[in-house]
Amino acid sequence: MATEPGTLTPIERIRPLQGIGGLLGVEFRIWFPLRAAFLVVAGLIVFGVMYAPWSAAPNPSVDPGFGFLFFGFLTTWSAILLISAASLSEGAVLGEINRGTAGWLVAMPIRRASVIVAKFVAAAAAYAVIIVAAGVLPYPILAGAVNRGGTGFRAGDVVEVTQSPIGMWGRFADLPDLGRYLGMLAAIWATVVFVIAVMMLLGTVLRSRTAVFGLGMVLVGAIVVSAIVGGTSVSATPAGAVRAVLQIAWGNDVALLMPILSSLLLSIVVLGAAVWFFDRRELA
Amino acid sequence: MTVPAIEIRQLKKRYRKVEALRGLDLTVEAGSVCGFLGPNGAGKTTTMKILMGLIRPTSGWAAVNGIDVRDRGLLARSRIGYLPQDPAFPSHQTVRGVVVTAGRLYPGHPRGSALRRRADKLIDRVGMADKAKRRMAGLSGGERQRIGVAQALMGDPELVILDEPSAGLDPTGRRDMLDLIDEIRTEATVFYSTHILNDVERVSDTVAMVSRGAIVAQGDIDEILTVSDTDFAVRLRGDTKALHARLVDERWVESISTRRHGEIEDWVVRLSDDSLVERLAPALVDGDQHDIIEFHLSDGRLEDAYLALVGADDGD
Repeated sequence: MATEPGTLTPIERIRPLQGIGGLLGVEFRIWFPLRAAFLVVAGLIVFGVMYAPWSAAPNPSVDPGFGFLFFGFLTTWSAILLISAASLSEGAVLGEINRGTAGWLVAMPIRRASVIVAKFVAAAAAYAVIIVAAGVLPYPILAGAVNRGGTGFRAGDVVEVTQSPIGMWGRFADLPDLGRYLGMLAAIWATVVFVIAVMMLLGTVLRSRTAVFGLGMVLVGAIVVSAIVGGTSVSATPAGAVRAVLQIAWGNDVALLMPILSSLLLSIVVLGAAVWFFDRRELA
Repeated sequence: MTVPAIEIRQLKKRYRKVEALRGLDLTVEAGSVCGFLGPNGAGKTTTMKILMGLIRPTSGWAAVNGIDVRDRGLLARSRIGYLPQDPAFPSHQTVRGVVVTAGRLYPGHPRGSALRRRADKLIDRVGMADKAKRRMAGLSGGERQRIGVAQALMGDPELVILDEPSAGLDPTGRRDMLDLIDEIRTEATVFYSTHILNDVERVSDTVAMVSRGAIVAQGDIDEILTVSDTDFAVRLRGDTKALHARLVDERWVESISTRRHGEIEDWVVRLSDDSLVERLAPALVDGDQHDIIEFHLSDGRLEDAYLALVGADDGD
């Protein structure tokens, strides 16, 4: 066709991720602003409802378990992030295949790998923004409460987390410094990214969205359970990243770098497998 | 000699036990409008999906503008605009957003306002300018087809592949779609599939008829419609089984293609020699279980040619 000569320039070389720019535009519009904003608000609501500053009034006799406000926020927030990552990524690939929009994209002059990578990058970037936005804001609030003596505990105090008959006890931890706190958020993000990568892989391999969602939930459950009971044996896994976050929130000093790097490395491997399968999948 | 827009050799595709393509050979000359005609399930969509890299052939070879679609699919697709059958676009995007997105996916695409202007121009061309800001989710099937054509033209293609572009459209929509194909022919080769014979007769230069995964005829429309003096069109009513069984056993009958529409059955009877019509005529009226409504030399209608070549094949 020659409706507007010169509007398109001929291909000189085909790049490994040809088309990724246009695809990222599509994917970012899915995540931003509504979906990301919803998750940020959800995170702030979790913090606000469960661990509001007014709860941190300097009256430790009211709620001895409050010493774990920091721990509680991070565990609840992490669980929400992991579940949301699995839920929102469940249809990212298979949903598009079933609706036919994947066929539309793949019929364009793009690499199939670009479709998977764009989805992954957009979701990972969205969760980075969500985690930073919803995770950083509570920090000064928590810090303020601790500095005011709001919890009434000192680091190392043994406090009752839950009332009898469950009767869990643990040590109250000081709020870590901001750098370490950001490291903890990075560890949560690395785990979320791993879940997204696995969901992408499942979407390229399986034929049923229910199966993808179910296996995603099993994965999240396995990560959480492994983080709690796995001990040091899961250190170099995404469960190890969650475990490290919980351990630091609990007051223990554990390394964050190894679980973060291993989670990201595993995510890249899983994503590579997703690209491989998607490249071979027939979009009939 | 110019490179054909599409060249396919011995293309085979098997889905488990189903053989969708059985050694399909096809050539579409550059600059032509080629109707890809065949019943549902004959292999039209499978062929197009292989050209677009959506599925892989079991064996065989296909090229677009001389570029192998399997080895250099991306390069081949950079010169193709494609409208899938029952097109699906991101429902959260607007009409304009979808067309702009399609443009962005072509290498070397114009940017910014130039890209948007091009999208607006094509949206206007398919008669959707007043709905450019509507979300895709709210569009009818016909409107999606139009947007499908607009996005297919965004890459300035040399070849436009349209899979059943007029399927499911009302008469006005169908007429508009055919007019659009007629317009595109001045700018690109058009290869479109259909099972509507009138569409092919109206806008095609060439036709390729496919049946059960293989091409049964291809060439210029005029060639296909050439009157054969050994083909006879017969329209019957009633129970025709006995007559059919009797005729196919005759040595002077080469083939009988049949197609039923309700109580009416159309046959194209091919004889080994035109003089044998003297035997056919009395044979047809013999028997009291059927009525002969029409009997004449096949007059070169595409329907007769189609019937003779494809018969009552309803696909696999």
